[in-house]
Amino acid sequence: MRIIQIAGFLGSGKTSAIISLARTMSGEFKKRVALVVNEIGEIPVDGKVVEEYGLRVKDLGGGCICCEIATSFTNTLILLSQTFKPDFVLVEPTGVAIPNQVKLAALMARRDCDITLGPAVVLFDATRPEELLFDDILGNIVVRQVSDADIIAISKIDAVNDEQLVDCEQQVRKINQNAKITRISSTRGDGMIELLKLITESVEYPAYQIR
Amino acid sequence: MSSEKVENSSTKACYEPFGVSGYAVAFRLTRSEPIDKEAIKEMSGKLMLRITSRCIERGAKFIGHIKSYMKTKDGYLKADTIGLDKGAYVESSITEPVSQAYLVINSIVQGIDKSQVKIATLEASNEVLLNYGFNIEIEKEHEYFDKFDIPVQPKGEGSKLKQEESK
Repeated sequence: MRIIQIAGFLGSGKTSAIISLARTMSGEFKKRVALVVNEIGEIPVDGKVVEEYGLRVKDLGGGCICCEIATSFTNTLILLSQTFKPDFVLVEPTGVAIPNQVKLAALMARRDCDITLGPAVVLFDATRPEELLFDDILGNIVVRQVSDADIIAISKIDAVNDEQLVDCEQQVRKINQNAKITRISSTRGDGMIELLKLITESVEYPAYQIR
Repeated sequence: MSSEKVENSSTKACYEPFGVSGYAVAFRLTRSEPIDKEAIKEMSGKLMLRITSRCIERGAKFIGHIKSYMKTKDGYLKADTIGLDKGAYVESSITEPVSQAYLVINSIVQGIDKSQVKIATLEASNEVLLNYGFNIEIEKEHEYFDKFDIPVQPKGEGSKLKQEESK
């Protein structure tokens, strides 16, 4: 059971991306896919939207899986491995979650089930790079998310021009020199197959223990 | 699908130092005469932008997202925005005129207290939804982040792991 998180700041397009990825993985790729969607509020929106696409979702509400409800997330993974037995679990954390902490929470499930850590895919909204990176306060979360990424997916590329895209890529590269960078548009489908190939490769993306 | 109710936790949340506040509300909407599906889309887009405006008027510095999910007897609608300059995105599978709907709104912003997010969301909702002839009934609401009131997991679940961790 391979755990792949589709992370990124609020409004970066995580839900649209996870729907697109899950449909292709279970359709064309014929994989067994489970979805875990985390929303901090106790009234779900994203989980409901995902369900409308005929996908089955485990909606974890009431806290962030990277910290407050990490144990609940771990238990969900264990339960999924024992019951649904998916090939892949796609995880959509909240927009403020820290990707490495989500990995560490997933790793706790290793005591009870056989999992491998897939990449932390961090979506970066191409329509508002300055807003995200240079906000005095929130910029800290975004920088941390980008620095934790194994794959940075520049999202909403249909809404910007090439020059803006190159600028985006340069800005995130300064923060994370190692991550693969890819471009996607969930609405147009651009880059989704390439992203799928990257996330389904049999490569382990370990969590780091000490920063 | 199930949403897990959770108990209080002393664990500090990752987002607490960043002044992010949120409010979520679920409405039951009713209308004496059905309204056209295109008008519903228009209303939903306006609602997202009006909530954004109200949050900004109250001092919000950053719009995380304003998003909504509407369920009607024959379809659903989702709408969201990340800022006035970005406009609102609306996607709908609704085909029939609407006289009853379930609507969830989730507003997450930075720079104002959660109580202000609530006021902004409710003010804008009243303004827009009433203008389109809907009666509004709040079914459920939830403020969160700065004084978080739920986390962790259902009783019994995870107790084994917790015991192991505490050793």
